[in-house]
Amino acid sequence: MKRLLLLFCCLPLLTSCSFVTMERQIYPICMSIDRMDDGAYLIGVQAPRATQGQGASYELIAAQGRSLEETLRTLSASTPYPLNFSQIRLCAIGYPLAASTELRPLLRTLLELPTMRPNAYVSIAMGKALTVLEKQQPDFGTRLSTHLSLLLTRAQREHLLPDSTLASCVRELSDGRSDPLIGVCAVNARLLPEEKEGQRQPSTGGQQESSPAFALGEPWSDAPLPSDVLAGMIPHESQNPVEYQGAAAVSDGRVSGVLTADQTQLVLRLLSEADLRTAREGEQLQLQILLNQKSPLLQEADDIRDVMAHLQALDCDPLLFGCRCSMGFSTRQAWDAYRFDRRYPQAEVHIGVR
Amino acid sequence: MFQTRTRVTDRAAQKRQREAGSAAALKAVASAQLFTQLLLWITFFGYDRAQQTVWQAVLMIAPVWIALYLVWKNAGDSRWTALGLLLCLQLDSCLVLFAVSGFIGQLIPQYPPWVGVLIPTAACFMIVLTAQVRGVGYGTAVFKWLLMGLFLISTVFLRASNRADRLWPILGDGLGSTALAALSGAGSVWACALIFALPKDHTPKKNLRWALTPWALGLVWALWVGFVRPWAAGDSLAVAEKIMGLARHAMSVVTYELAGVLWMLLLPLSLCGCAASAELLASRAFPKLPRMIPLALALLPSCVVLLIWPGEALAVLETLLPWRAVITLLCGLIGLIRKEKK
Repeated sequence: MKRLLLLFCCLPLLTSCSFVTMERQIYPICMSIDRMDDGAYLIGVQAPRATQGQGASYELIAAQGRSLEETLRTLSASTPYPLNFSQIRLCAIGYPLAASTELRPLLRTLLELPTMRPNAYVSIAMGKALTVLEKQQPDFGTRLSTHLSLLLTRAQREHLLPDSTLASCVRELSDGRSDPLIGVCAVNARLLPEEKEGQRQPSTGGQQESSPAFALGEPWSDAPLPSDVLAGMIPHESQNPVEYQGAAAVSDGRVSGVLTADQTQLVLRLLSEADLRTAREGEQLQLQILLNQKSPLLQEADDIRDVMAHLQALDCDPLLFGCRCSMGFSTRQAWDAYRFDRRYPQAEVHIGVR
Repeated sequence: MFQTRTRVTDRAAQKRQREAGSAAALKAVASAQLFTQLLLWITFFGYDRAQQTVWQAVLMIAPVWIALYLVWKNAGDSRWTALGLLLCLQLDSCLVLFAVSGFIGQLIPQYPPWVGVLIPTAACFMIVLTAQVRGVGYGTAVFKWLLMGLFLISTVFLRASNRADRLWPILGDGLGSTALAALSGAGSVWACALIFALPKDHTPKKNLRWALTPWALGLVWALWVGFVRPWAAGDSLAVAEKIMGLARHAMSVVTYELAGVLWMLLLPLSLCGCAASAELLASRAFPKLPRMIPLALALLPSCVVLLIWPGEALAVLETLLPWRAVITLLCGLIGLIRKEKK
């Protein structure tokens, strides 16, 4: 009798459970955030359109506002159904916005959005992020979510793109002892339909006409990429003009420069294969990169020096030397007093055998 | 479920087994309470204060834990000790209800905040009122392996980018600062006393295991929070954001959701545990008291506080919660003296 009474009493509670059915929500696959010239934010979401025919099509919805919160509210108010961010695969951020100190608060706000997918991939768009979403189309008729998942997962596995998920970016940006690399995406202007129409003979070369077309194939997946390849400038032919190659270097919580695809690949390979250490002697700081005797990276010592010089010039420490160095300090005060961030750009780089 | 593990030959053995099962169920409630409070302290206060050295803070709580264990192991029951423990249970229920309401607020944003406070309170009140005396205990015991599995998924198998070097500089802001943080968390191990106070007779069987396991799991949680560093010091996060902070860094959406399930099970279970423990202690100390009174005492003040001052509750709790260790220790000493006098 008591249990029946309990069930009866629970019924009124259940009546207050409102929920929104799956069909009555919008599941964006991509999101773009830009800062306009007048300081306003422009947020766009790309979501699948319910179509009767074959093949998926996608709709782009964008809104403007003076602050991020206001823009999100406007965006939400302009859609017929609530937005559910649990299927977001890509968060593209315009370069001018990423180069400002607002990057971390911005990513933090995105991460804290209800239903936001924490492992959505963050990418810095060279130019306007909304344009990337507009021009983006999945290859070979796959769904956009599948296309992005496969592309980004594979590129990360093969050290072509850094691991820059939303959660990891927010965490690394707050660490203070290292700097993250964030993947780069861009529209290849040469592959746009209007550009193609203007070209009588489509060429396979972007910047380097003589370089061979590079395919991301299995047998040579670990081989170094050609130099100077970056998203938006890849010498290839495709129906999809949006490219994902290279990385944006972050320093002091904002994007300070860009690494080309081969530099990104080298840094990511060093991160996974090399023994990275620091040595201190008085005021001197040495960054040590120790490799196995048989490591093919030993043949690329000059390239490693170049990329280290580039990273030091950008004041970006994606190889976690700061973390390694901090292990020599017992307290945070001693570590802060050492001022690693000031010493890092001038530190000597030593490449040796483990 | 406890009686079937050992062969029962006669009625006396059957009674012994039933009593042992009942004691184990009550110890499971106390253990879950200890586990929840330690996790909530690390998540809401400990990590913000000590950052990567929060695991050291959990280690530093050990002397309080040992003192409580030794005192309560030999302490006797009295009305005063029951009243002291009831006060601690009230503070526990306030923290748990605060976490539950925040979590509901994020899961169902359409709900007004008061619904997130009232629904768990009403549900818990009715569940404990209609359940048998040890019903919540048996329920907790049933869930213990599931909770353990979900806990491991939420930490060791989270597949987040965790690195040991995030624990450095190893002493953080210094040992003194960590010790101060540990002091604020001393109250979270008070439920060690419940392991001895809830069962009617002090059975020495597996007490250490029931008390040590939650503390060890708390240490694992603190270590993983340090490995992952889910948020930076000074980030003003919502309650649910802190609860799901570690899981936010999971590589897989499945592990993220399962980490949510851990809290969805643990928090209501702990709230029911607070109410059931309060009822049991009160009924033993004041046998003529109606069941509803201790239940209302354990849940209603927390509910009212969170309905009236939801914004200020956490700051007030941060000040009050450490005193649970002092209250429990004093109650234990009173119990010890009374037992020796007898």
